[in-house]
Amino acid sequence: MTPEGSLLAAEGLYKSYGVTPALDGAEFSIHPGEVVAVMGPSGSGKSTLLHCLAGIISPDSGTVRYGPHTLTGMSDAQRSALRRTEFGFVFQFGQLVPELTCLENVALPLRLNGTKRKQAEQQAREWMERLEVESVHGQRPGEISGGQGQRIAVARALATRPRVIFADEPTGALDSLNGERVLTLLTNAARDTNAAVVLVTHEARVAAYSDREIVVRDGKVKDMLAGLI
Amino acid sequence: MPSKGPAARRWCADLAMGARFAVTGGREGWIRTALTALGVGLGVAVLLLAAALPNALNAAMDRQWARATVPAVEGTGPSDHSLLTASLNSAYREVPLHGRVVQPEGPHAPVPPGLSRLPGPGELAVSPALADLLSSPDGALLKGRFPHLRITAEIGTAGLIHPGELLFYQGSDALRRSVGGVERITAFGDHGAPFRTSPLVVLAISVGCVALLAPVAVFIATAVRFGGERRDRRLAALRLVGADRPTTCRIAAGEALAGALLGLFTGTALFLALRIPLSSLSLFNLGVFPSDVVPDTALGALVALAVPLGSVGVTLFTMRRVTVEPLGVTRAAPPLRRRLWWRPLLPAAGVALLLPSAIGGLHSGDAANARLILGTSLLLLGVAALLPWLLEAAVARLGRAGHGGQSWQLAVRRLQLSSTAASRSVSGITVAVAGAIAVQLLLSSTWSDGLEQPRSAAAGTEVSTRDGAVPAARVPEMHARLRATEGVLDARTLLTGYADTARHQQAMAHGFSAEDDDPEPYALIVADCPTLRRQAHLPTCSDGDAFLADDPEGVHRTPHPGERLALDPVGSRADHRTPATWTVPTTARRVTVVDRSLTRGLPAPGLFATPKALDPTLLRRPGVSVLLRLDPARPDAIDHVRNTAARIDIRADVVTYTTDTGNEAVDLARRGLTAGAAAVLLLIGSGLLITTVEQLRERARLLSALDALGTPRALLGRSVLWQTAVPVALGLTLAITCGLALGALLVHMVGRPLHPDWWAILTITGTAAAVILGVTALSLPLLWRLMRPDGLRTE
Repeated sequence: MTPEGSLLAAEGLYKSYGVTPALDGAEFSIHPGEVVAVMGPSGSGKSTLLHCLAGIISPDSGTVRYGPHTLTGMSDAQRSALRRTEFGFVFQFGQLVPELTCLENVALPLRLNGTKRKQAEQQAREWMERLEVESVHGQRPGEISGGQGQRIAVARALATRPRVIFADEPTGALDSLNGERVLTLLTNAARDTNAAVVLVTHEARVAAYSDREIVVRDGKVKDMLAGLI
Repeated sequence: MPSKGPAARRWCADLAMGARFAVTGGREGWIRTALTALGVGLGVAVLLLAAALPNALNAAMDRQWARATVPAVEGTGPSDHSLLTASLNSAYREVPLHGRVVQPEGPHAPVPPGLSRLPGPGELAVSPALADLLSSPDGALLKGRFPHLRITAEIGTAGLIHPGELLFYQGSDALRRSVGGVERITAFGDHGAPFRTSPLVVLAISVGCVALLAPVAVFIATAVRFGGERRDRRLAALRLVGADRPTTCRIAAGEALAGALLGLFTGTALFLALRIPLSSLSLFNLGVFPSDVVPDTALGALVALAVPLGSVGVTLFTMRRVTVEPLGVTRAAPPLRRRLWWRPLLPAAGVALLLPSAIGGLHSGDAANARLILGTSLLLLGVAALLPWLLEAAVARLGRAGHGGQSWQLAVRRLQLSSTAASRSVSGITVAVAGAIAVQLLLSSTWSDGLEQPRSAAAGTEVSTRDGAVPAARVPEMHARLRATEGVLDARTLLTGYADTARHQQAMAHGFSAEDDDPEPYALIVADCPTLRRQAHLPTCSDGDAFLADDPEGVHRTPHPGERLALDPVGSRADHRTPATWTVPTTARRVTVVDRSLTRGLPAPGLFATPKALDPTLLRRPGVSVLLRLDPARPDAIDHVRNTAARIDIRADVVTYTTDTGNEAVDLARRGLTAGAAAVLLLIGSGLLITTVEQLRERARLLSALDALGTPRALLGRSVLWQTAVPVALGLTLAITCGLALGALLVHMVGRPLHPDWWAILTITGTAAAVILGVTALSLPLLWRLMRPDGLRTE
C-alpha cells in the first residue's frame, strides 16, 4: 500500500546483481518537501534503492510509484523524460561535464528540456547566485574547488525545479566545512521549492539534516521512526 | 657499483615482464598491442619498400640497359660478331608487345640477355608471359601475328624488364641493312657506367615516405594510448608492490617493445606479401621482379634496429614526464599553449622556394628539382603544422558563436577542452590528401591538355611503313589487304616522300654545295583526291592535279610551279642511284593545309600530288600510310589489323588515335593516388575511432550520470558525430584548398591550363564523410553500453 500523500513510494523491491541480492523486499515512501536520509553500511543496497526509485534501473520485482505514475511499467524513454523534468540528481563527485563551463553545466538539464539557451542560462545564473557560486560561471569544473563543484552540481539538480532530488553521498568527497555548507544550501533550497530529497549517506552527521532516516541493511529497509515497515 | 651483467639482466627481465603484460593485459592490452603492431607494421612495410625502391629501380634500369643494343661503327660491314636487327613495338589488346627481329651475320653474333642462342629463321623465342598468352584461348588472335613461326625457346628473367612483359625475338634471314629501321649491332648491353639512382630520386622517395609515414605515425601515436587508463592502474599497482620508478619505466618500455617487435614481423610479412602484386604492375614501361625488390642491406638493418629501439626510447622519453605513484599516475605536462609564430614560417619558406619557378617557369636540373621538392614538402608540412592552431581557433570561434543545439555545444566544448588528439589525427590527412590532390591536379591538367588533340582528331588507325619497306609498286596490294581485314570499314592510302631542287642536287653531286647552305627538303604527299581532301582544303581536285601547300607562317618551304625537283635524294643516294626528277606542274594551285593536329604522324607537306600528276614509283623509298576506319562494334578489329600489318611487313607501325582512352599509366597513377588518399583517410578514421572510444571509456561515469539526468542517447550520439565531423571537415577543407592551390601552382609552372579532377576530389570527400559516419556508428554501441547506471555504482 502506498502511504497516503506520498510523492514517491516503493513496494516490495527486489534487485540482484548476479547471485548477490542488493534489494530484498525494500519499501520506501517520501512526501513533498520531506528530506529522507537513506543510511547503511557499504554494499547494503543504498545506491541500488536510489537508482530504482529514480527509474535509473528497473527492479527485478516490486513497484515504484511517482504520483499517479508507475515507474516500473514505464519505457526507458518515458523514465528518461521523467528524470529530465521531475527529478534532480547530485552525485558524490559532482559528475559535471568537464568541457562545459559551470554555467552551461547548470543550464544543461534546462536545455535538455528544450529551454532556449539564453533563458536557460538566465535561470542557471539565478541558481548559481543562490548557491553562492555565481563568480565561477565562466570557469570549467576542472578549474574550481571540490566544494564549488558540488554546489554547481546542486544548482544543476535544482535548476529544473524538480519535485524529487536524489543525492548520492553528496558530501562524500568534501571536507566537513564544505560538506555542511552544501547540505545547508541543498536542504534549504529543496524546502523552499517544496522538493523531496532522497539523501543517501553513511554519515550520521549528514543524516542530521534530514526529517527522517531509514536504514538499508542486506537489502531490507528499516524506518528509524516507524520501525521495520 | 653494480656490475654490467646484473644491470643488463635487470633490463631484460623488466622488458620481458612488460612484454608479457602486452599480451596478458586483458582485452585492452591485446587490442592496444594489435593496433600498435598494425601501425608499426604499416610503417615498417613502407620503410622497407622505400629501402628497396632504389635497388628495384637500379635493377629495372640494369635490365633495360642489358637489352640496349650497341651499334656497329658507322660504315663497318658485316663481321663474325655482327647482328642485323630491327626493333618492333606493337600491342595486343592494349598490352604492350615488344619484339626484335634478329639475323646473325657471323657465328659470334651477340645473343640478347635471357637467351642461350639466337633463334634461327622461322623460330621464335618468347617471354613466359607471351608463351602463356599464346597457349591460352585469350591469345588465339595473337597467334595470327606469328604465322609459320615455331616457338623454340623461352626468354629467361635476365632478358625481361618485368614478369608480365610480352616480348619475343624472331629469327630471320630476310633483313637488309639498307632498309630503314634495320641496324647492325655488335653487342647487347651497355658497357658504360652502371645506372644508379640519382640523389634526386632518393630525395623524392624520402619526401614520399614522409607523406606516407605521417598518417601511420599518427595512427601509432593513437594506438599506444588505447587502454591507457588500465595500463596506468597496472603501473601504479607495480609501484605499490615495490617497483621503483626506473623499473616501472622499463616495464612500460617492454610493453611498447612487444608491440613494436610484433609490428616488425607484421611489416616484414606485409612487405614480402606486397612484392608479388607489385611485380604485376608496369608503369611507364618500368616494372619489377619480386626478387629485385630487396631492401638495401644497411637500410634494412637500420629499419630492423630502429623500430624496436625507437619504441623503447620513445617510451622512456615520454615516461620522463609521467609520475607513476602507488596511488595513481600523474602526467606532469603543463597546459599546452600553442605557439603560432613558427607555424607560418614553414609554408612561407615553401612558397618562397616555389615562387622562382612559378614566376620564371620550370627549369630542369637537380638544383631546381630539389628546390621544387623541398618547397612542396615544406608547404605541405607547414599547412599540417598550422592545423592544430587553426582547429583550436575554429572551435573557439564556434564555441563563442553560441549557436547550435546541445549536442553541438557538447562536441564543440569537448574539442575546445582538448583538440590535441583530434588535430594530431587530422594533420595526417592534410599532408597525405593535399599532396595527393596536388599531384593529381598536375596529372589531370597535363593529361587533359594532351587529350585535346586526339579529341579534335578523327578517331582512327594508321598503318605505316617507312623508307621503302613497302615499295610503291606493292602499295595497292597493301591497301587491299588492310581494307579486307576484319572490322575495317574504310581505308585511305597515301605515300610520303621528300624532294630537293634538282639544282641543289646537281651542285651537291659536283661538290659545290656547302653544308650550311643545305636547304630543308620539301615534304610531299601522293594520294587520290578524297584522301588529299583530308590533308588540305582543295577547291576542286581530279587525278592529275598537284597542289602547293600555303604556309602562312613561312615555316615550311614550298616549291613553285614549274620548278624541277629531285625526288627522294637521300634514299636514292643510299641505293647508289641518281634521284628521279620531276617538274612541278605549272597548273599547281596553292592550298591551305587542314589543322595539323588532324594529320599528325605525317610530315608538314610542301606539295600534294595525285598519282597521275606524280608517279609514286618514282619515289625510291616512300613512306606509306594507310588510314583506317574501324568498326567500333568490333573491339578486336585493331588486333586483326596488327596481324595483317605484321604479315605485310613485320616492321609496320600500327598507331591508334582514339577519342576516349587516356594514357593508361597516367590513369593508373591517378587512380592509385585517389585510392592512396582514401586509404589514408581510412587509416586516420581508425585512429579517430580509437581516440573516440578511449574518450568514451574515460567518461563512463559521466555518461552514466548524464543518462541519470535523462539525457537522450541520440543527443550524445549526435555529439560524437559532431566531435568527429568538425576536425575531419576542417582538415579536409584545408587539405583540398592547399592541394588545389599547390596543384594550381605546379600546373602554372609547367604552363598548362588547370583541369581539376573533381571526381577524385568527390571520391576523397565521400570517403571522409564515410569515415565520419563510420567512426560515429562504430562508437555508438559503446556509448549506449556506457550510458547505463552500472557506471554510477561505486561499491
